[in-house]
Amino acid sequence: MILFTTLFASSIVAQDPAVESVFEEPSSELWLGGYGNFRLTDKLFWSGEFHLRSSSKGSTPMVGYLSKIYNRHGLKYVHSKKFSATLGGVLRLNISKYGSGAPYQLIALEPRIWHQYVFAMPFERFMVYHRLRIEHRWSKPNLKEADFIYRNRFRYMIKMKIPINKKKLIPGAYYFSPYVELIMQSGKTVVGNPMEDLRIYPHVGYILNPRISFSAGILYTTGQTSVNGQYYRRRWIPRINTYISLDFRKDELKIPEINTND
Amino acid sequence: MVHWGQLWDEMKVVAGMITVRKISMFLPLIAVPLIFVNTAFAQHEKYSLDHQIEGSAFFSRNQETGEKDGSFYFVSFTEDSVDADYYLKYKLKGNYQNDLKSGDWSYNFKRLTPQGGLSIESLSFTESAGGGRFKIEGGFDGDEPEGNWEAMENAVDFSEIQDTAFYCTFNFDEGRLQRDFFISANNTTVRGRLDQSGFLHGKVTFDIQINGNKIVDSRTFDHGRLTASQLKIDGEVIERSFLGLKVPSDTSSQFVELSWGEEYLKVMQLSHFVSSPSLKEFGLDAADFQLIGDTVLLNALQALTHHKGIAVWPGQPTFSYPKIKVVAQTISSGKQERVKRLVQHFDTIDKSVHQVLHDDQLEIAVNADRRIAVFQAIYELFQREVIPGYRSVVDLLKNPALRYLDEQVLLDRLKERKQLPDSLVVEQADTVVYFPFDQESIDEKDEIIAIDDQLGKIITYLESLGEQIRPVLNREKQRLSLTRDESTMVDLRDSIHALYNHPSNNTFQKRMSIPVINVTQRRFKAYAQLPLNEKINRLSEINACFRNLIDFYFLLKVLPDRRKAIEELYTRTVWNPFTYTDMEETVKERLYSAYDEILFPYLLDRIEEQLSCNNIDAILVDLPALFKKMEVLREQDTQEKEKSLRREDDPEVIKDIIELEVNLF
Repeated sequence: MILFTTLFASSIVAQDPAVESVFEEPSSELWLGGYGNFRLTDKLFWSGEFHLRSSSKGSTPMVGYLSKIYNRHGLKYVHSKKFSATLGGVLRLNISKYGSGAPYQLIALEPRIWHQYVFAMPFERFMVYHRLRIEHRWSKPNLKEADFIYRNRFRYMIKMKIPINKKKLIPGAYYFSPYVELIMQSGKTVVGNPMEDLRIYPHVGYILNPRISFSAGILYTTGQTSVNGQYYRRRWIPRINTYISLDFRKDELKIPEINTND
Repeated sequence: MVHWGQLWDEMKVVAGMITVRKISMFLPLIAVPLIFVNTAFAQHEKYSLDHQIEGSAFFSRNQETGEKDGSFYFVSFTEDSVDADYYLKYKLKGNYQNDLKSGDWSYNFKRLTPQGGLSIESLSFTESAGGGRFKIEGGFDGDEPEGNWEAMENAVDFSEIQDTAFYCTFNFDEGRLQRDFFISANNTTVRGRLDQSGFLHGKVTFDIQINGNKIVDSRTFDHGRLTASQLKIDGEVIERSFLGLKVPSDTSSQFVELSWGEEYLKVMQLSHFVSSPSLKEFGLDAADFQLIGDTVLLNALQALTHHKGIAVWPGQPTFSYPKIKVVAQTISSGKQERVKRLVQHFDTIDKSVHQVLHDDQLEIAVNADRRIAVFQAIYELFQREVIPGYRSVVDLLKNPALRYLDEQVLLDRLKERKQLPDSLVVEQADTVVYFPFDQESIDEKDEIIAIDDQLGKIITYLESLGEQIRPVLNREKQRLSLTRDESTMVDLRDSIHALYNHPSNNTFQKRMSIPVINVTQRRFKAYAQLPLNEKINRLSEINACFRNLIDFYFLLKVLPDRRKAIEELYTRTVWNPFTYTDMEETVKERLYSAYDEILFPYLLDRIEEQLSCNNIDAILVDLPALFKKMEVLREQDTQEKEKSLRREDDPEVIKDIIELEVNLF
């Protein structure tokens, strides 16, 4: 939080107070996500995410073209039922809106190294989660002659999961999840635009069983553009996600469950 | 300069202060160190008298041989476990020489309780005590008793000896009891003498006081041979005999030595008869004093080595007892066999009579049928008139002491006293049973064979009697049993009603209450309409059914818990990495669903539809069998079974897939 506050404060100081922020017209996208957590040992999970993201093009909102294919994987160490740490890599495929004709390149790779720390806070009737995620990314525009740009992302997310029809988050429960995430960035090319994104994503979910859940909601996101920090990009993104959790351990190791630290 | 006169005066003053009593208080303190000083190898260790009385022993060993040598001292001081007001002190003192008891030894036991107030003597408190004391004093030579021995028991009151309840003195020479002995115990005194070989010799006199009568029993021995005896009560000579006791002639070497012990007492018990009619005038019975003198002598001998069942002396030496000479007969193996068979026959009769007369049902049936009353009367007559006589004979013949006595004389005496009946007549209402005993055959044949023949006849007679009465008796017993079982049936029916009509939150009990009560009522009504013979046959069956219905109630009572247990067995807690919470999931879900949604409901439906006395046994087995099967399947690899269960909802097929063995399907 101190880091975010410092960065955010310094960015404000760097702005010309006389210049007002300009919010661009919102665009729309559609994100379909699959999330997996696969238990390997008592403490280790393989965490995997796969997204298909489409964006508006011309007069077609949301699904004008497939804009991103997103793969995130990592090894999650579950220290306790209240804390986990994950380290892994991301390979995002950015697809050109304009095809592959010169000077465009159809697919631009964007690799990342990421690590995150999740703190879960159980309450009687709901859960609160704090997530700190740090990403080291190498990206470039879909231009054939473009070079990779290195940047760091500092992400803080807070969300809740509040069961609606049950007292606990158990199979059969619908839940509502308020979600806010602030993404700050740093790097040589980051000048006047440290706040990359602010994501507000209220959604509802359904727990089918301990292994499968679903959620759907609309993400509103805004952040400074990389060209001019005065301008704020805005997007409305419906999201549909599936969550899968499997246990790859041998049957006899599945009891007792999880750790005994709490 | 030393003033010798003044010093002497001061010494006299000090000497005056040190009384003998005070010195005695310090004796143990002085004695114990002396043991250590005088021997190079002194020991102080835990020691117990006959493994019963724990205490400390102080003694010394020869340094070279390790053998006990020198003085020995044992002491034990405890609270009385029976009466905490009393304290017990055991003391044993003596000497060893080359590991053998030697010289003077003494055993001293005191059981005392504080009496009266405290008093101060010098710088100590003292307190009087009351209770009792027992002591033995004697000598050993090479571990064998030697010289004069005494044992006595005294009552103590205010630290003074008040009374001597028991006193005895004996003499030993080279380990053998010899010369004079004297015993005074309660109201009996015994005095006598032994020769050098330990045989009673000369006159042995037993003076006994009973009920104010003075009994003087004197027996004269000649080196162990009983040559004369006389019994006087208050000066009057009473007829007395040692019946059957065979005394060898003074020149005969055909005798055996019989020591004064348990076997000797048995011989006395069989042979010592006091039959004078004068006894009644003295208000005495022969049994009152028959063995008193002999027992007092034996107890006195035992008192030299044992106290309250504790073998006092280390090594538990055996002391020789006075001996007499008797003629013993050899019992052939054939005779032993005959006696054994006779005893077996008698036991058969005795057991049979006892069994019949202690049969409660027969006791009641007597009032229902006159024939049973006659049957019982015959057995009572046998018990009263026949059994005691034969028991005397059997007890005599199997007594090992009989080998020292003339068997025929004793048997004749039993016959003289008419202990064996000549005939038996039973009169009960208008029935007369006459059972003759062939007395002549006894006189003609070998005595034992003849008596055994008689017993054989009795057995045959009783068996025949039993055969005749058995149908009547069995029917009466069944009738009695029927009444009792009917009462049980009514109780069981009432219990079923009370249980199943009782408001319960248990849905299974609620659901089954009407079918169970219907079955009970139907059975009960049907029974009432049965003829008597049918009732006898069916009653136990109905009672078993009713008991099963009660068991069924308790099975239903635990059914929710059993189902919950199965549910928990098939439930696993899983930690969800997306919600960070624990979630429960059903394992082997298809199998569990087949049980929970199809099999169990189906089984309950079958039970509700088919419940009857004919299948309640099966129901009590089937329900637990289903739970057991589920428990077993949880631990097994059931992948194939679960595949087969896919979309299967036929309970019969499911039962076959999971290989469930039940009777109700």
